[in-house]
Amino acid sequence: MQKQWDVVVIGAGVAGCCAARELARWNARTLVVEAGNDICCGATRANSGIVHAGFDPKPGSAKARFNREGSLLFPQWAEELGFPLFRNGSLVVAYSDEEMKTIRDLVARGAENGIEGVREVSRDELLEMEPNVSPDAVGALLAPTGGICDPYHVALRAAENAAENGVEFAFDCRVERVRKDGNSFVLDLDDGSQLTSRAVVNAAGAFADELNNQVSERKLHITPRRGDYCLYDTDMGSTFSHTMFQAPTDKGKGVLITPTIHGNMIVGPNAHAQDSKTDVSTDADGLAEILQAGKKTWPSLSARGIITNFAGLRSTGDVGDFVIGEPDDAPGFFNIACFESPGLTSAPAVGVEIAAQIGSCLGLDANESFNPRRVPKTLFAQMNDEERAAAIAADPSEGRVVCRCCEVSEADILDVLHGPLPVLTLDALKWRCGVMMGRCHGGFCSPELMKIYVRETGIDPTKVDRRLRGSYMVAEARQDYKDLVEAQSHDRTVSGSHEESSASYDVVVVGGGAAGIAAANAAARGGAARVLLIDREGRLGGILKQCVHSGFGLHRFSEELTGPEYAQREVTSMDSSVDTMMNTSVLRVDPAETVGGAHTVVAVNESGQHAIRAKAVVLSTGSRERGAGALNVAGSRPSGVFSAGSAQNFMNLQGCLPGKRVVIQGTGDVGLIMARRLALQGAEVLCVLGTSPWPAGLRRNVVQCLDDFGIPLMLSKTVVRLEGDTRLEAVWIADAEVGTRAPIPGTEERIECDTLLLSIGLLPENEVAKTAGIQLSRATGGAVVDDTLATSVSGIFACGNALHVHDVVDFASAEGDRAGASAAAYVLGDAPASQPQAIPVEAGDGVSYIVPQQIAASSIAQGKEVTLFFRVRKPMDKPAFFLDGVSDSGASEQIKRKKGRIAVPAEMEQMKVSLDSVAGFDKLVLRAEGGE
Amino acid sequence: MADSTSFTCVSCPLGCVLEVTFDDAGNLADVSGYTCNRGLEYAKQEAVDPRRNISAVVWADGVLEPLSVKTSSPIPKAKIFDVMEEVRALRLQAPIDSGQVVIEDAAGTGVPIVATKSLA
Repeated sequence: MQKQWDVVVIGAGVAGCCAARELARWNARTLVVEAGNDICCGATRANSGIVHAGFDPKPGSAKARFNREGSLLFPQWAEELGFPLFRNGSLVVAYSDEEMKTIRDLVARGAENGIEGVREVSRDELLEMEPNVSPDAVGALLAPTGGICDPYHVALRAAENAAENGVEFAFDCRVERVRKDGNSFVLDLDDGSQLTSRAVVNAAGAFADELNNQVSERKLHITPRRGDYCLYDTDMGSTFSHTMFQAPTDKGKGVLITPTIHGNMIVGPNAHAQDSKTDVSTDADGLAEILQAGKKTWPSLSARGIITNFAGLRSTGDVGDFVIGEPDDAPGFFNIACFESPGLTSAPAVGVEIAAQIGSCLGLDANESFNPRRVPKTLFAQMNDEERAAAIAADPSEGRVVCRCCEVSEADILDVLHGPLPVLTLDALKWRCGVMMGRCHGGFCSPELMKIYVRETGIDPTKVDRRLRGSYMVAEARQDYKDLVEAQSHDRTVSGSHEESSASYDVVVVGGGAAGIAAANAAARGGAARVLLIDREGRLGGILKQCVHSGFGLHRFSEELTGPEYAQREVTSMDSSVDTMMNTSVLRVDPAETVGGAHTVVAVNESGQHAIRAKAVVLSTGSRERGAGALNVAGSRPSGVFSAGSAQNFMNLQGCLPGKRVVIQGTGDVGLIMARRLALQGAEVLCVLGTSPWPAGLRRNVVQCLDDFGIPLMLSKTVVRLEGDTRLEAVWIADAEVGTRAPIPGTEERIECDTLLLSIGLLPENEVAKTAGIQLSRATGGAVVDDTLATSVSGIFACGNALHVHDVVDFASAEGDRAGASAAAYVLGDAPASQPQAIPVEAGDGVSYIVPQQIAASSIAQGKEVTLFFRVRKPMDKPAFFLDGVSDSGASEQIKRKKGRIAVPAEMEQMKVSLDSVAGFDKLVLRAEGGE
Repeated sequence: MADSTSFTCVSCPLGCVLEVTFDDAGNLADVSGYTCNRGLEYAKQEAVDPRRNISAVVWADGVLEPLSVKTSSPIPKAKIFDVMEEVRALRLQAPIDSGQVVIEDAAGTGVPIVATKSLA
């Protein structure tokens, strides 16, 4: 790095990046130095993402000026730089007549600040706009120019544009001291070296006061104020369309609830002054506080739907306003300090102002070649069918979908990795292209991402950081990992026996795990002439491939096999007429009703986009792991927190050891199995915790995975807090209340560890089913099916973990057999297309769910025998299961009774019933009774 | 005075609770709680010589994906870590076929370690 600069910008948050972009308009040597290992390591990363209209700041203040100017500049910057901006409008809601007075004052202030369109709205108008707002609302302020954006992307595109116009960036480069030396400034860096610069922009966020105070007698003092947030699933993103503020009161500004630009819902922030300028740990009290405060806006608000929580620090100065420009005793030193809210909105306008001041201060010439436009790559997920087809034709890596939740292609990732700014952490990839941002929390894609990152950067896998320097992902990996991923990428091709891009099939099976292989095979054996099995990976077998332990196949093969052996047997015995299409991701299924004739399965792979016609479709898309958000754990955000399945992938498919001192939360089978795997592979497994009073996994796994290895099973316990800035250093656990499973205050205990595995349940993966408009069950998370496994969309069937989570793979295969046979029968015309006389089957007392949810009329007519699959709500001793028929008069009659010895929620129960006995009833109800 | 003990059967996912009683000489006298023949056999074995199957992965030269392996029959519980030490020290060369023996006699147990998948 050269030592002499015209301008050095300290800090690559949104203030520094926007200033850098405007400085690029000058013919000057400009450098941005950033102490962190990415842009936006401070307040820009963790805030509300609101483009404020500008009615709030005190008239005449710097905040009022730059907010107004910034809000006006935002659409232009969004267009030039290619970041998303949505003007959803802001509402400030009053809940009392007293608060309504405040609203009227704010409307007047908006007029004084010159903000267009700010007006008062009545209660009726408010409820019309936002039907979910609390009925206690009495009126509101509407600011139509309020908007939402992704603050990281605003800074990213500004920084990339600056870089493309010649501004240089240095990361992991902390300025320890700055001092005036003649006509220039000398900057001491943390590596002992020095830079000199004619002008300095102080955009150091929470540290801006310290730098200012080194060169000026006009002392500043910044108090970091922490704000906690809860981020919710996109399912809840349309709860409100506007950004919902609460009218400020004596007690504070309240919290906001807003949709985000990514379609999530966010709630926060509170405001807690603290000493640390770096600690962004959340705490349980703060999270409870914002949930409580948010109920004022939306009474139904709860922890349900939370994906994650986080906190950001606002840099609040002691002067009540932004501090922008040169102190009078330090010419050439330009502050963007005390840059709290509305800093994000103001950043473009402040960048323009600061660049203008520096240009005249240094007498700079215009950069004639400055290009104000940055045209980012169109992400795979944003493309329409034609764009996608063209993109894959131009670059096969566009057809490799790495992140299934957010549909991020390998080309998206490579574009970021080789973009204008370096990618020093996996989180930088996440923020820039959305990989790992979906519902699986990176459980599926992080192992794949590790391979790509190592292959492209050459960094040793144990040195790959998740977030901060030192936040390593895996503790051990083989020495030749990098060479091997390179070799692997060369022999990756679209294997499989399918060639054409718009073929027609009788049956297309989506997902080649245990259920899918069985379904394809059964469809072929059942008489379907053309059957296609599609899978996203290079080899069939799904999750069995990484389940190297034994325990599979006792029902299907009458012997105990490991996962790979089980998969191999299934593949070997598959009918040779079945075509396969590997390394292929199904994006959606357009059902026959909408496209006419047959269903269309839209899929991509390296060879292109494929629209495959199918008379029948079987969905066997498996399940995903429940993410950490479900626990709403407080604390910091270190690396070392894995879903059990992703840790299993790292260990069993990549030969890495995720960590050395491990705590496992969740007593599901995957967690128990991983406890043993880690113990066998040399890690210390400290304990396995479960929130309920009984283990969620199979009893035999508790015995052979925990008891055999002396690993304590701690029931009614839950992790409440994570500790560690970089890698996990400790978890705090607490007793969980029986029933609610809520942590009991005062019972906290600290356990030092470097790894936390989460095995807190599996959820059926039904993103493809949703695209086809299939009705899903809230109880199972899978499709609602009849006894032939037909879904609500005629000709589409479901099976395996996509339908409901199975305890034993043999049963998933058996279900695949039935789905495949049903699909074949449907294609051959053996099954009636619609069955209006179906009888619903409901879960009664003591039963959490039942599959199928209905019995087809045709099955009753044929007097078939069907098996009902169900789970009990809690453990029962000597249970009895009752199937009752309910007639239209409401009278109930027992059809069948079955006794058991013991029943637990972890294990699926079955009941066979002859349909001869159910004819004439309006519905069937299955209930369970038993001792404690 | 007869001695008795109980444990959970690990032969299959049912997890039956097995009870074994010993006579005064310490010999196995009675087994109850099993629901299949495998359970009975397991109980007899577990009462006098507890054994387990284990599985693991082994690095092979030139291939990132490790080879998965298992004990071809149960090994004494007390020998698990001795066997793992040998398994972890192993370095293999592809190609390897599923079922191929990679260690003839793991840690003196007389039990071979076999591959559970093929590596090309």
